[in-house]
Amino acid sequence: MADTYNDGGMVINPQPVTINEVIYIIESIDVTTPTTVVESLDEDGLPNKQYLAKGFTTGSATLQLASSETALPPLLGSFTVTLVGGGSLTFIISEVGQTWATNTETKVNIGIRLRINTPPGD
Amino acid sequence: MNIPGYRESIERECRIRREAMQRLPIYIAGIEVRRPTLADLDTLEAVRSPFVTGGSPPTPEDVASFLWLMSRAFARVRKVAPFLTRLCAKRFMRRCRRLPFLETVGEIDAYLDEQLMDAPGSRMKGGGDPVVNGTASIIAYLARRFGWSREAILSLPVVEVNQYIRCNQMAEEEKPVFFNKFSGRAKSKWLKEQNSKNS
Repeated sequence: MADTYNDGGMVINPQPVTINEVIYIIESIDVTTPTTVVESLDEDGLPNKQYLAKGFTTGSATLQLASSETALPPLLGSFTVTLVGGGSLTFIISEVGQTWATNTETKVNIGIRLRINTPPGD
Repeated sequence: MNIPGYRESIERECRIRREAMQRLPIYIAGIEVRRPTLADLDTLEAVRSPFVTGGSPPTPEDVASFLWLMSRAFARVRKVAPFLTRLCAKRFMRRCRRLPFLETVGEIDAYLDEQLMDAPGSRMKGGGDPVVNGTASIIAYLARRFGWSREAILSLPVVEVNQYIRCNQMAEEEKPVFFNKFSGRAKSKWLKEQNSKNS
């Protein structure tokens, strides 16, 4: 398995997400999972052991809003995306960035972190 | 998720981008027109053409002057025999009187919709007043990135200019935000419908 993955191609059709009861369309998801590596060498200086630990999955995405009047997604809000092959991932919004607009479209960049634990009751 | 009109919009956007670098003839109501350049848009704004400024609905005179400015006939006569410009314009205006008005307005709107596609969005800054001319901003951007002259940039079709700006955004910006006019419009419409159902 690769150390990083870019799932920007994950959404074939536009994927709606619901955050705080407001629906947005998510696009350009880009997430990375780094690893921490502990290496061990033998007495000749050759690799003989290693330990790898997956780190936190973080990244960014762009959300399309219904209009410029639509509420921006809240910081620490969460949403779930469906994977093409089945299953889903839940992300927490760690950053709400710049909002961009044309006459007909409004978009905002967000920072995201993969949720690790399922809250009680979910 | 099936958003009505989304797939068709994507196909339309792909076609427009494919044709952006080509010199295919374009016709509005049977009249061959050029692709609008930044200079054309400035002229249309200067004469307050409702096709670019919005506001009041266009009149038959607006249609005729728009088509004359954008026509290949005007470009040719201005180049080859500028002294005939006035005469040719008169003839052209007479021809325009016979055009079906509403259909022609619809064709002009669709032509501009396509030719101005892929324009970059602007930052929303909490109601601040505009501080710079849009054309100047594009000239400054392209001149800085590619070293092109003001005249060269003004004479480029806008649909082509927007492709260069996109290429540059993709190469230089960490998180570029792109607006896809037709598919974006379909998504906005769908989102509004869904959110109003929920509220």
